[in-house]
Amino acid sequence: MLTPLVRGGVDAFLNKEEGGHGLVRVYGEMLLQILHDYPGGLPNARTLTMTEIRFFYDGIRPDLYEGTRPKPTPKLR
Amino acid sequence: MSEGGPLDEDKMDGESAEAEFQRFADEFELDIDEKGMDDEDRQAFQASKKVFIRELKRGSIVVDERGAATYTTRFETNPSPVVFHEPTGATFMASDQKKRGHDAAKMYAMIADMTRQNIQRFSKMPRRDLKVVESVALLFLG
Repeated sequence: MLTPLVRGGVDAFLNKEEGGHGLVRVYGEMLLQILHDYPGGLPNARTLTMTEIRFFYDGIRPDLYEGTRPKPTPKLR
Repeated sequence: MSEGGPLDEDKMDGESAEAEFQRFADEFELDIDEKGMDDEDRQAFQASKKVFIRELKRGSIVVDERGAATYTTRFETNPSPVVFHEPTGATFMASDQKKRGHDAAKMYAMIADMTRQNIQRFSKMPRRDLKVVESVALLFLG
């Protein structure tokens, strides 16, 4: 798949150890993510096309960059 | 006799078939850049692509204006088209309904959803037709 997912604050392509960057893995995750992030605001999930899934996922991509960005480890005093 | 069935005159030249394959891949956002594939993935991709191109040349696979592929079976008693529609949320959910490790069952659940066919059609489909259907599906699922 040419569409990246978001990992650690950046766009990322899954390697084989992560299950590979195939259609089911990528679009399955994007579907779950948009279902989580658009409460009550999505059309019927069963009828969403790849294009629509990609559209909604791209809409939350900036939030995902922010939300998944690695946080600095707090320093112990 | 040619591989996969009686010899038909090619209805499309190789260059046009490659262009049609590219159009299909673009529409479904398939990553067909072999540079990014390991040996195993490259071999699987090349095998699927070879079948797809062969059937395009024969005219058994047609890519429509939206990029969707239609395979018209050649060996079923009553040959009829199998249309590969754009996957939807239901396609991805279909694979989740099968048990972990049941990869063939998952693949056929997805094929049935994408093609809007009853899964039983594939269980009865002649092997040579099924091989083409699987090759198209593996381009998506690989």
